[in-house]
Amino acid sequence: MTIALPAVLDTPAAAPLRQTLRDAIGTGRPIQLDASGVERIGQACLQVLAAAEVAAEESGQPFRIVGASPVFADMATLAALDTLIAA
Amino acid sequence: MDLDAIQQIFFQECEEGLSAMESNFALLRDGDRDSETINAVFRCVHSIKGGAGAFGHERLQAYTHQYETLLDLIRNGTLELTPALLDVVVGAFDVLADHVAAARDHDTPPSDAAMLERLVAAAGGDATPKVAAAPVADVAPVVAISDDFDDLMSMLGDVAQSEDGADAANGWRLRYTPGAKAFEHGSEPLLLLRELTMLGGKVTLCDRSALPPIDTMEPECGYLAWDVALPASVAEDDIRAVFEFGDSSAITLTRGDAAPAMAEDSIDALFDLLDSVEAAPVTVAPEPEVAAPPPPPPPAPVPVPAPAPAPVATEPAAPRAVAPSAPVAPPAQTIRVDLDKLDRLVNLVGELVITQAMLAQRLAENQMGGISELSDLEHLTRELQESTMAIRAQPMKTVFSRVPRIVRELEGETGKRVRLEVDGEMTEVDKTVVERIGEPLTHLIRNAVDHGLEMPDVRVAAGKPAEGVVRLAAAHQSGRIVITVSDDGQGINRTRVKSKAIEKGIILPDAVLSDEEIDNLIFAPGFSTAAAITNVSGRGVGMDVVRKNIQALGGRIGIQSREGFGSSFSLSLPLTLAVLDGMIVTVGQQTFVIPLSHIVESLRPDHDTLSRLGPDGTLLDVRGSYVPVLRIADYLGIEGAERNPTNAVLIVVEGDHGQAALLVDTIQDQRQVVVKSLEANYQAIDGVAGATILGDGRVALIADVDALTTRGRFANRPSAALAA
Repeated sequence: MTIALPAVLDTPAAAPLRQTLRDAIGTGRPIQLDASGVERIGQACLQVLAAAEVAAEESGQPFRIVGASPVFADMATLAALDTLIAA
Repeated sequence: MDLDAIQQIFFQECEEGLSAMESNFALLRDGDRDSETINAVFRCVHSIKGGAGAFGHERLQAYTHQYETLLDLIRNGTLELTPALLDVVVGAFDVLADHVAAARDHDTPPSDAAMLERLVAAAGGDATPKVAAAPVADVAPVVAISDDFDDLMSMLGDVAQSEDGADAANGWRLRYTPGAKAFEHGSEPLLLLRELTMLGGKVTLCDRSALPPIDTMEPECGYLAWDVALPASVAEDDIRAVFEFGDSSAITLTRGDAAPAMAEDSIDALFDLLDSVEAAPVTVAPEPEVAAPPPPPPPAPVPVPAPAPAPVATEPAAPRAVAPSAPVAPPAQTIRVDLDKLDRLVNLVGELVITQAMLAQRLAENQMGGISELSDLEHLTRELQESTMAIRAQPMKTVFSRVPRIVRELEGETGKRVRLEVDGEMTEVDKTVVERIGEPLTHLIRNAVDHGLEMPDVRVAAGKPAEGVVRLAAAHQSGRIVITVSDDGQGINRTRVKSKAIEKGIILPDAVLSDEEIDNLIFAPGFSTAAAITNVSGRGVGMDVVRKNIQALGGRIGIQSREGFGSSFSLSLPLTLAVLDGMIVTVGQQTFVIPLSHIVESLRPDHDTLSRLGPDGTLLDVRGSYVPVLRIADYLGIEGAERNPTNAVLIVVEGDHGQAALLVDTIQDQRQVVVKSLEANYQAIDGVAGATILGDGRVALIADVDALTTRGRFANRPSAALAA
């Protein structure tokens, strides 16, 4: 399933994002996140994504972030979390 | 310290930054193209941006980001700083100042869309005016990997060099652990990382070891930590400044050449990095407690990056000497002190001066006035007092730095071209004076541009350069500060001033006035020669208010003007309002202090130097010029004073309306007195500027020479006697 990430992924957006990703992991299906519409992202959401990646891997679900917008790519690179999109 | 207090500091530093920028613009405009000058401007904007981000002033941050982008292009030589570009940069500065003011006062931010467009256009047009938009935006994953690879290589280099024991000048290693409270008050650690990369830093590692499983993590809790490598050329202060408004305990900063311990660190980091490149989730034992705010204890004796240069040796028996961080020359240190505390200190020193004077008097009464300890105490007290006053002293720069903007705005409003010359901006004067001089000074500047300077075409026709010059200067002159505002404009048109004054009923049509007196008419209330009332000045309330303000500061204002060549206004102000040197005189049973700054000379007149004028008036001939004799006793209603000038002492003083001779009984002494405000403790009295406490504990009034001479002068004129 592909989930489109919201445009604004600031700190308040972290809690709903975490919920969405937990639900996705709960389905047991491969997870693909579309980051093309992300206009703003902060540490809180990046770490939720990193934690989701770990959880997906542990449960054997493929986890991919595709179509990273420039802002997403830039912030992930800045935070040295570009491995999230490198896969 | 709570966030508000820190924010307060931020705004103070914004002020300082803005004023520093303004001085650098002056250098740039004079053709200085030193990279350090533009760098300094960049740093100011950069710091403001950092703080704006930390405190959630988004508009300010967005604006500074765009401003900074342009400055960065100029600083790295991509754009050449042409006069047109400098105009954009300086124009953007004004909007920045408005932005800062709006953020500070919780006001609506200024409309900056037009300026942002200009900034974007100047920067090459493709920069996106977005908060988080990065100058190096589209980093593709491939590049990212090679980035990591670069890091890897550089770290390998680190290890090799450290192991060689070579003199590795390998820059800074920063461990940034935002901690659980990373997002408090809307903070965003990534923005600080961005700041670090702007300084040339490279994030070498994201430590995810503290990241809990997604099921148990708190979404608004920080779990990540970063290692950042910064070049050795970056100043430690600049790095620390990035975290100034955040939790400074979140960082551990070490010099790359910290020898063996660093090598171990690098190896650890290297493994971490290798892990992260392989995209494997890092599950290193949580040896550094990431979520804890204090920095994790270093595994080996690493010099603690404390601001104090005290070397910290944790293991004295360590076989290898701990390499202390290179002794950095301590920068000029400053602390911020609450003004109240300072005023309390000034007040106490004032009391000390009084007590010292009392002690001297008591000792003198007991024939012990000559003991050397007393003069020692006197010296010390005086020195203490001067040092205390020096603390309150501030350079005129704080006022002068606002002037360029005013001039720029005036240029826009009037269409005139103005070059501002500033001199003596480091001249120091008491804070109170600095604070209160701004308004009158602004008015004089506006006046110089609006009334003084001519339009460019008129100037050219008169054989002058199209660009007018307004000169602003400050200097110390015999214990006072003299501020001069001069222009090379048309000067005062005395014929016009005089006819205007007659028209307004300020003077009689047949009055015979000297040039100086005509010039001084512009200070008369209700006087205005401006043909049309402009926005800039010319409401006719200006100059008399200027003079009142200056007088309230114990100052005087003078004009010199040459028609066709310009005018010069000079303000003479006391350096401090808290103490003054005065002559202690007796009038009747009362003791008065006459400020020394007003005294020209004192003399006991001969009968033939005095001449009568009218029923009460007396004139004193001072070497050919006649000055009116004023009896203080008459003006202040003191009984039993000497009335005959030949039995008294005449003190020739210089006031607003020229000289006068004050008649007093005797002169007691000349000394420094501490000024106590009458307004604050009692009420304002016309003719009395304040009070002081004498050595014997008695209160003496300080004569307001300007008020006395003014009253005296008009009282001597039959026509004005009623009004006085």
